[in-house]
Amino acid sequence: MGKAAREKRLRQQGQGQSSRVRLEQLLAAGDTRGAVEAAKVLVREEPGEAAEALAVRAYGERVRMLIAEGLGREAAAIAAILRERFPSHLSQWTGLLEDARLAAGDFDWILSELGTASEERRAAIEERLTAWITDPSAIASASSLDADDPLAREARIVAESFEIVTSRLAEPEEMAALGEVRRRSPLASWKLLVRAIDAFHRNEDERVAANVTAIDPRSPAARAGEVLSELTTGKKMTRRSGLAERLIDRISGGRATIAAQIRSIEAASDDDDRKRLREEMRTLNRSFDQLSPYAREQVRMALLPVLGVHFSAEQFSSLFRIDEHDPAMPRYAALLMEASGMLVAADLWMAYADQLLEQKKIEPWQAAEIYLHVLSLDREDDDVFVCRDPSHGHPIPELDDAPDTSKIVEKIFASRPSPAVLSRVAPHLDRLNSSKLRRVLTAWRKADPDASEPVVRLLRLAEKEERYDEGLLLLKKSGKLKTIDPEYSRLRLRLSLRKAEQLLASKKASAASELIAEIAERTGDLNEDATTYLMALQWVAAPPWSAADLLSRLSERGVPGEVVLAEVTGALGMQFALPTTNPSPHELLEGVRRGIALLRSIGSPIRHCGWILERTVSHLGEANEAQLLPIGRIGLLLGMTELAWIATSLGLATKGTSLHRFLLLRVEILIRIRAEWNRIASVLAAARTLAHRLQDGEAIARAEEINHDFGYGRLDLSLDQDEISSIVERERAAEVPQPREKPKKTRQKKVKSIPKRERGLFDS
Amino acid sequence: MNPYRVLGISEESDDDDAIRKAWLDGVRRFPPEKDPEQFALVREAYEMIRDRESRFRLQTFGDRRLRITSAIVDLFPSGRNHAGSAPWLAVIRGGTR
Repeated sequence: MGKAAREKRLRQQGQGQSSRVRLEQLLAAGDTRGAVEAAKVLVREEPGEAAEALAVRAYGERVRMLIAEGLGREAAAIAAILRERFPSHLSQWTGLLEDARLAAGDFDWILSELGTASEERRAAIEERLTAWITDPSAIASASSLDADDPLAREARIVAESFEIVTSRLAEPEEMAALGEVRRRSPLASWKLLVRAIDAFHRNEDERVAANVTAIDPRSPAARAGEVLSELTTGKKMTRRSGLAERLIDRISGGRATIAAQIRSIEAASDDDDRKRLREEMRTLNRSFDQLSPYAREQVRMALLPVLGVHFSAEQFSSLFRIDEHDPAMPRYAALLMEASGMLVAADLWMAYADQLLEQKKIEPWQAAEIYLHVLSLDREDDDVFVCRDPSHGHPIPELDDAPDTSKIVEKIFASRPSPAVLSRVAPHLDRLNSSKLRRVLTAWRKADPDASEPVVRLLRLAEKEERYDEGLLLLKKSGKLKTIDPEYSRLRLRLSLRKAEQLLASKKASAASELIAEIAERTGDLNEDATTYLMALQWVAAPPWSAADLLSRLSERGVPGEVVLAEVTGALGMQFALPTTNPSPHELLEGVRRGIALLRSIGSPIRHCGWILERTVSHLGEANEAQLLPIGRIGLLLGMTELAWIATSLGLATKGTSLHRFLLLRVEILIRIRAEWNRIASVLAAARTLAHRLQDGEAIARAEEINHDFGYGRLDLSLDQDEISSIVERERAAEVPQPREKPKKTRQKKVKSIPKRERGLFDS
Repeated sequence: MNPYRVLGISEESDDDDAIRKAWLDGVRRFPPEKDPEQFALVREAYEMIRDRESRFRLQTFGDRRLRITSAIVDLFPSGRNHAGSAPWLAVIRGGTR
């Protein structure tokens, strides 16, 4: 705004309002420029002492602000006007007017005193100069200062060494003279700055920090010290001026400029402004010349997502100053599709690798790396690919229509069947269905016969699909496999036991006995529980003793064996007239607990002991935590919701160390009975919070699994003890609920008949 | 970050042993207790190019850190160039501008 316009605006604004009030408002708002203009109007409209005093104040504040902004000459000019126009009002502004002269580099008037000044006066002058020396050469060349004056000599030394250290590496002798600068000299901070700059260019950052820290914050040299701090420590300046930015840019090789260019490129891309994008890219291209080939290629790849979506291949290659037929173009296309979340990226990568391999431009191991990269591309939702490195532990969900993983894996096996590469494939196998997984694992095993992982995975698959013969055959074939993987031994035992059970169920007692004997010989696989279970199987295969004898023998091994026997005989469809026993409540509860623990430890699915569990109901009040938890868990598994409910209520009442596990079990029951969403979420949050506090990894994992499966969202982990207690109390006191009715289906399924309860072992 | 520059080796270098040696030199120069940041940088650089597979991945798929485009600036040389006295004096005179 021009001067006339500003005055006009001020006059308009002032209508109905005193110019004096307006001026004071401007001063209070820090608008010193406006205040000076308002002062001129005021003096013209209301001439007099009072108006002049206020005008002087406005001019004075303007001078003060210009000095602070580093505009010394402008400050001195305003000060001169002030001196000329209001000579009778200057008494209280003398100091400021002198400061304005010093800020403008006008030192002669003060330096001329030094020649005759007392020691005390000299110290005062030098002290005052500390805050005003913005260029030592101005002192060095001051005509009013005697050439032999210590300050003049110091100024020459500092000015010369400053010139050197800012232009080149100084020779040690060139820095030696700095030692002559006194500690109390107004140039002491400059001496420190010169040393700091010298240290900076020698990469001696500790020395930089030591010198910068010692600079007097009043000295203008401190401003340069801040720049050095940012350059050496990365600590941003509190107020980074444009001048400081330009200095940093020049020192660091244009990085600030490049950062600004990249920001402009992004902004132009966001605005879909191709013309601007092209111009910004041309500007950045000029900086490309300072890049090494590696860095240039990385910058291209990094800018692909920003530029690629706006330009054709031809335009893109022109922007990057590469040939349109450059061999890298297909790779850029694949990277662009990948960054844009396009599914076609996988196909492009595969085609790229296949072609280069065919043309023998890459070696098979390089093709394998590209195939592995394709495997790591994971689709997060219907349209978006994201790259997830499995080594970072990201989950890889099953993808039905993702690129055919099995074919990619087979290509990897064919290209590079090395153990290191194959183990990188493993995290991606979970997305395959069983038949593809079996095919891939078999290929892996063929490619790397010494690897235990494919064998273990194949055994696990055989167990899951109840293909025990296949699993045992594989075990036989891999007999020489050297592995310390404990899962291999566990699978061998479980598969053998399941096969023995299968033989017994199909009345092949003799074959079963042979297998059981074979298992018994593999003592390395057998723990206490497995040995005990094997005893039960042996008894079923060829009962040498009565059922009572067996129970007695199991009991001697610390296993009240009713649950085990119920499972074994139940699974085999056998009915035995067992002796009536009258266990005490404790014996019954402990027998159930121990039996369940044994069956779980050998991986036997529990299906048949529900009726024994029913008998525990009347004694649950006497059960401890360790007994209630498995009873509740198996009760839920067997569909005995009421039993599970009572067990968890009692478990919650104990408020023991398994409280979180009882809460988790309650969550599962609530899900089963289709309880209210909020209720389930609150119990789950309480369980998870406690599990985290107790660092119970298994319980945390289970809580996460439930949350993932049922989608209760982000669980609140900040529940305090009162909130948890309230949830526990609510659940403990809750009555056994009736399951909510499922929504009616249009086509009702045929209702299956409820199987008859099996005969109890305790029935005679 | 340019891992080759951090380790002080040629970008043409394809020798695992030479790269490992450069890394060990870096570790010796910047022990973690004295300069943890530089130590971490040297280690990160080594991981980026330690074997032919890592180098191929870096060259083919790019440095994932650069997906944050502001990180691109780090690839440009960060010198300690002598700027001359004028820009220094401009800052010193500059005040709060």
